[in-house]
Amino acid sequence: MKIAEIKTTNLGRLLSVFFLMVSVYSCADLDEDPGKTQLSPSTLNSVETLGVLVTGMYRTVQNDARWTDFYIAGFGGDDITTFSAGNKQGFREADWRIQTSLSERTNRAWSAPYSMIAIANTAINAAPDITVSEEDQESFNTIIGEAYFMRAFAYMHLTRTFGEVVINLEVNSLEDRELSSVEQVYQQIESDLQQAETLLPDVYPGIVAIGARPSKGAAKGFLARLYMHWAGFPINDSSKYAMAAAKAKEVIDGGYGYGLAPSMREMWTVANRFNHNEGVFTMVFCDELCDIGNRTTGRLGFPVDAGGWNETFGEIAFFEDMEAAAMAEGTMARFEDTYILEVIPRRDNPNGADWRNFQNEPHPILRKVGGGDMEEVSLVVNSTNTPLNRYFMRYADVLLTYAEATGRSGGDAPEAWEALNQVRRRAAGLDPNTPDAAIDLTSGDLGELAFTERKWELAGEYERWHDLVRMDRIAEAFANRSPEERADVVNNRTPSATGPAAYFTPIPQSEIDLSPQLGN
Amino acid sequence: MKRTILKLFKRHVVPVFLLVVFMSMNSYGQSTITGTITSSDDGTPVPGVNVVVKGTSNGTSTDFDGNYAINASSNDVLVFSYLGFKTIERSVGGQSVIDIVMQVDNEQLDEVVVIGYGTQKKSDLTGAISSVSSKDFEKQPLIRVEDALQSRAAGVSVSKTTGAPGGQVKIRIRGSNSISFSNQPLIVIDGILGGTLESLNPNDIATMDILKDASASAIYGSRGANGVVVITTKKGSGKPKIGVEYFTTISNIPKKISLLSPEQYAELSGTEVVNGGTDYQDEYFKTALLNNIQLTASGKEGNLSYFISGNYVDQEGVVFNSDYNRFSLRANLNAKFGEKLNVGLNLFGSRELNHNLFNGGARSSSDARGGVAGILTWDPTIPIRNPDGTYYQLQSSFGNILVNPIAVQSERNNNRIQDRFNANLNISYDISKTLNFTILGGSLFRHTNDENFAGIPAGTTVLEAQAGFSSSRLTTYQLSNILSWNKTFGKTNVKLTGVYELQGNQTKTSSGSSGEFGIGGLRDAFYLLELGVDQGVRANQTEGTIQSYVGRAEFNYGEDFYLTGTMRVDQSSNFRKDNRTGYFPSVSAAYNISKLLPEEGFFNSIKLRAGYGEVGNQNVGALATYPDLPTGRDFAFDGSTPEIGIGNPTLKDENLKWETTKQINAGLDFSFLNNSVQFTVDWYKKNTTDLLLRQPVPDYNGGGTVLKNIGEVQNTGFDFTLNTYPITTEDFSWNANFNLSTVANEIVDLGGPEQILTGAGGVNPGGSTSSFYSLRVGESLGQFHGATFLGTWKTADAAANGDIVAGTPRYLLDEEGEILLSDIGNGTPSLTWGLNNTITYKNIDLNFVLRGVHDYQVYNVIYAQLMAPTGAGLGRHSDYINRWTPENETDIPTGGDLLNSSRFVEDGDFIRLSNLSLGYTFKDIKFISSFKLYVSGQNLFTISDYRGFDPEVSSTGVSNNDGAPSFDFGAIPNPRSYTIGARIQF
Repeated sequence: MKIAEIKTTNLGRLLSVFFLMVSVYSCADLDEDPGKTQLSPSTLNSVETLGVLVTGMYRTVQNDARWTDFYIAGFGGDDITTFSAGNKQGFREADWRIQTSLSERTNRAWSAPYSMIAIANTAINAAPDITVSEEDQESFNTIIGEAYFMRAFAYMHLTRTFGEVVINLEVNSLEDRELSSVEQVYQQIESDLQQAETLLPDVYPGIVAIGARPSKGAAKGFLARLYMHWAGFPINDSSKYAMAAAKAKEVIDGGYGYGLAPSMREMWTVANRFNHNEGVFTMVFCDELCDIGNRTTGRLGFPVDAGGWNETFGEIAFFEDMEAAAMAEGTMARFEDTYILEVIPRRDNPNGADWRNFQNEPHPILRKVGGGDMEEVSLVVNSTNTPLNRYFMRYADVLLTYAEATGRSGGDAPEAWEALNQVRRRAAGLDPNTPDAAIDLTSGDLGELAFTERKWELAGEYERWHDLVRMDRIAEAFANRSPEERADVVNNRTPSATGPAAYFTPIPQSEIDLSPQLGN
Repeated sequence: MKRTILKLFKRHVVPVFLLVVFMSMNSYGQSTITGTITSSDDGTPVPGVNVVVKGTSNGTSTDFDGNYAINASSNDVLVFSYLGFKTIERSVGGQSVIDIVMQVDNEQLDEVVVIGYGTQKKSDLTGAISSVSSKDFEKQPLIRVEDALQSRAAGVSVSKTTGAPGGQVKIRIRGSNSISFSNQPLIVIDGILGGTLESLNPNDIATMDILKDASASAIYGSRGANGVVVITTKKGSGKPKIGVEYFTTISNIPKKISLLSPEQYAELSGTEVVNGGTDYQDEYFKTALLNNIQLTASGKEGNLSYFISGNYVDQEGVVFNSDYNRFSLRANLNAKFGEKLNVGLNLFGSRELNHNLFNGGARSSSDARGGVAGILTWDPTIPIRNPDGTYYQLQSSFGNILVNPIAVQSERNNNRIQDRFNANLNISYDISKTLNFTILGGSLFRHTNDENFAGIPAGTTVLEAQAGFSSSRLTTYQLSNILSWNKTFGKTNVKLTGVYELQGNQTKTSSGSSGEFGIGGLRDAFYLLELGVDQGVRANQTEGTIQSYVGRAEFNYGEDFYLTGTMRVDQSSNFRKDNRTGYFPSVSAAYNISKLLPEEGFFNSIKLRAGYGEVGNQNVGALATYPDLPTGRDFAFDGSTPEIGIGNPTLKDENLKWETTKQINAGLDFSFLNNSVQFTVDWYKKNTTDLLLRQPVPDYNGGGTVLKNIGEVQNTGFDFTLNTYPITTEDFSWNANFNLSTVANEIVDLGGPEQILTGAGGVNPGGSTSSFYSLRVGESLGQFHGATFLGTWKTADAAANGDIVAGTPRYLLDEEGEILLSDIGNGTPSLTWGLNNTITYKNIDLNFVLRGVHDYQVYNVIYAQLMAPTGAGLGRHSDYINRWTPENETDIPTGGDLLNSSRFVEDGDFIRLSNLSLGYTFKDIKFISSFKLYVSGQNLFTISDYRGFDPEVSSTGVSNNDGAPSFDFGAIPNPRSYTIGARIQF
């Protein structure tokens, strides 16, 4: 045989064998079936799945709002401070307003609201494609209303912490974005809250306690809060005070079911966390069965003498001033509900009233952090993961907003004085709705009186700082620091009411790294 | 020696001799010549040596004990030959006993290299392939295959980034290509793709061929991008042989970190030392024992050959309450049915048990801040336990805020049990003299159980006990049909290979967890999850399939010129239809100019090689292109009953496709001084395009990352190998192998941005938000990102500028007066070398392996944590004593330094004696063919300026964090070990 022939024969054989072996195993199935093991976004086409998404939105809020650093800006207030050493530098820098973009613990306050916004954007943008039956219409409105409300809540948290922030209303977009002005952010919040105001029910049906999910009243309450900021620093559009007063009044008069709790202290107990109507918007926690408790409360507010975390303490001057004011005005009940002044049943069983003699450094113990009832040992005192509520807004806040906004907009309505006095009566341990000449105020600068009342009423709730900013009074607050406050043992730094981060926290460096346009 | 031979002679040879003499009484004046043949390498008898009377067909071969007997006349010349040894000729003369010491053939041109779906003679290679055979590492006591690869091949970098038993080992072949995905090479064991090294018994390995350049690895197409390690396990041959080996090792951490004493620390914290305090390093680290036992039986009976082995490893960690166990069994059977049909069946089973191993050893605790990082920074002033055995204090206000890491480690019980069973069948049929058809069918079954119990969970809060149990079952199959045609026409040889291959894998997982058990003291609570609250369940399945068509043509003219071309077409289910098919071609050529060299010249051989190839990376996992709504976002509106919730849709790119690596390679092989010096040099340049990159998404767009095909990475470098035999005599031989590799890595493109800043692979020391690494166009992977430390501000500076506080760190600032964050180092080594020496003198053998890794830095975050930076509390390192004070203005800040500061970037360069072994072989023992005793030490010394435990370790894992290498945040150091062992052959 010639070479050429051998070649042909072998090649023929080779090809036929190859053809055979390829054809024996028919082509492999290479198409994936994503529906088998995961949920596709295309399932977001019914009210039911939208509802499940909104449930997930609450979890998204909870995942971050359970941590103290979510409220990092609040450490700037004269009510709250932290420990000088340990790993608390991030809180310390917020407390003293000396943060930089590299400061620790500023990330969550930035990233968490955007996680909430992302999921709210998905719900809001999915809405037009959903066919809604007549019987589902109400629950559909409620779900979309909650998404609008939560988006507004998130943007408010952002702008109150960082000032100018990025607005993104799209779903899964990768576009580079610029910072928006504070006013633009306010306008966005206003528009979302107005949507929520229209869509949400007067009273959210079937919930464990009022405020656990937002109602029309909550939307109005947050609008009132927004207008208070709008009227103050940095926009200073004082025409907004009247709008704040009007919205707060609508909350009070609207029949949304809110009322002051008989005891402030009981709101921070596990036993009575749902037995009141004061929550306008409340994050409910579930520690025992879901292991997702409130990690801003419990033992982390205790000193080492009580085996605590040294994380969140009260400031000394504030404690002293409040004690003096409470004695002078007869509001000792509230003072005692604000600070733990009894024995903390842990480790060395220190007495809270004896805070000046604590081992490491002297700081009063905030009850809204440490817990309302020292007998709730395992769930609160021994825990850093408690079932205690986080009140994003209380009815007392709305009442005082109404009083302050009325005063600052030149009003003098008796209802506004009554709102202020209801809060004062409860602070004195009295029935809020029964006038008492010994406590009630009837004259003076209503706006300022209400502002001061807020200081005491909302102490330890991370609200005081935002009040100081909007009234541009941070320098005064810093000037009032107690000389007993521990200096920076490590760096010998001091608080600053004038530095670049005095009013707003710098955007975290990790975000600037990804979006350099935010750095300028 | 003489006496030995005499004894052997008396016992074995004399009877045979007498018999043969008797039988050949009346033959042609021939006499029987007998003798023993031993190896110059280790003095052991060599069975199977061909002994032929020159010019006749009269021949025999040596028996198992190296003995032979042959009839020859005094004029005859005997020729002794055996693969791997130099052929020896001896005139018979008047001798009746001729003992021969066979000299190892340094050249070994006939050595066969497995190149994927076939073999090639080493002399015919056109690509860049390194081979490591069992001979190269058998003098080193080792339990892991990775150790056998280390320092033995140029361009193959093996880094032990953790000293944890059973920890992962980082292998890089010619640098890092992928930023977001694994850079570990593909492991092919006996033709089956996707094997694992850690479960393999090194003793089972005959050869490892490392396909380094793309012209060699393109045959593996979409899985060849990181290079390929082709492993061939042993087969039986000759007479039945039984071997037993046992060794035991003791290990310790190489050094302790110098910390402040409890008294010094108490002075800083303003507290008092209780009961003398605690040395946490002494409490945490311990002397670890390792036992390894090995049994082998092999041989050939008629047409059936067998190799059977069993191995048991029991290794303790240098961290208390951590260990590793491995059992493995192998049976390799080969049967010949007639002349045409060969059937091979390889069965391999293993069980591995990891006890308290986290993240493959990259971390020493479930909480990255715990473990080694935790013990070094914990408050040393208090005791661990009360006299009654209960814990004194689980947390302290000073030092780190973690739950006491000793208590956590004591009360944890984490086990990973991995069972593997691997079967592959190889049927080879010669259709004609030139045509062969082989079917290779293989299946791997892996079952993993993870059981974890944390009596005192790691973290910053004292929590109730938690437990979990999960089960994962992987089944893979591979079916390869290989048709090859091989024909010689005159001086031309042509070989064609065609392959159709199907591969599939399926993983099914389920897991459960709970905590806060109703009953206390359950150390194995993962079996009683139903007693806990917060019960969670999960289940999942993933599947993948690849279909491939492969072709290869090899052409050689007169053994001077070689040309190889390959093409592989892969279709992967990981991508959508339009992006599914990848084409991976390669071409390479070699020219052997040996024939042009003068016969007695200086050079014995010179060969030039060049090649180009394209390979890919498809390893994105299943459903990488389909967005989903994440589950597990449940919420309890009433504070007690969770309602089902889902998360925001994940970001996925539907158009995802292969990452492609294109590589050119040019090489030169030459040998001189009678082949006693062999030199190989290769140059390569490889460019990886369409990088599968996890692009970070700003928080305002939802955060996280999105996987995209963007960017390009380039690696260029040289691989040098110098293999020498300076001395080769009957009694004394010395082999020195030196290999050196350089690699220059460069990011060419990031798909738009000039830089992407990243964290340290999920490790986040101090809750810091800063990025520790940057990916920057024009720079190498692994660039450290941070502030440039300039010492401390002095009292004079503070006096001049009221904003300055003396004693605080001073950094380089940018034009606006902000701290300048820039490149402050790089964690990717660019120069590595290894020096292997084996010296044999009579019965003694000595082996040592020296290796060096150079031109890189380590982020010493542990040291940073010990020097009181922001967030870490008080200083803990003894260097902190010399911190700045008004009286002594040193450049050690009082505190508040950034973690990502050039102050904590250190040179990692090191030279290490990774192995030193000394053995003695006894040969004159009854019933035993050889008995060897040896002692050995690993990591006996490391020359390095690094302040931490070990410059080789990293806390960022081995597979896909090449953008964040050399990050020392408490990885477990490689121990210093001493071994004693014995090996017996029957």
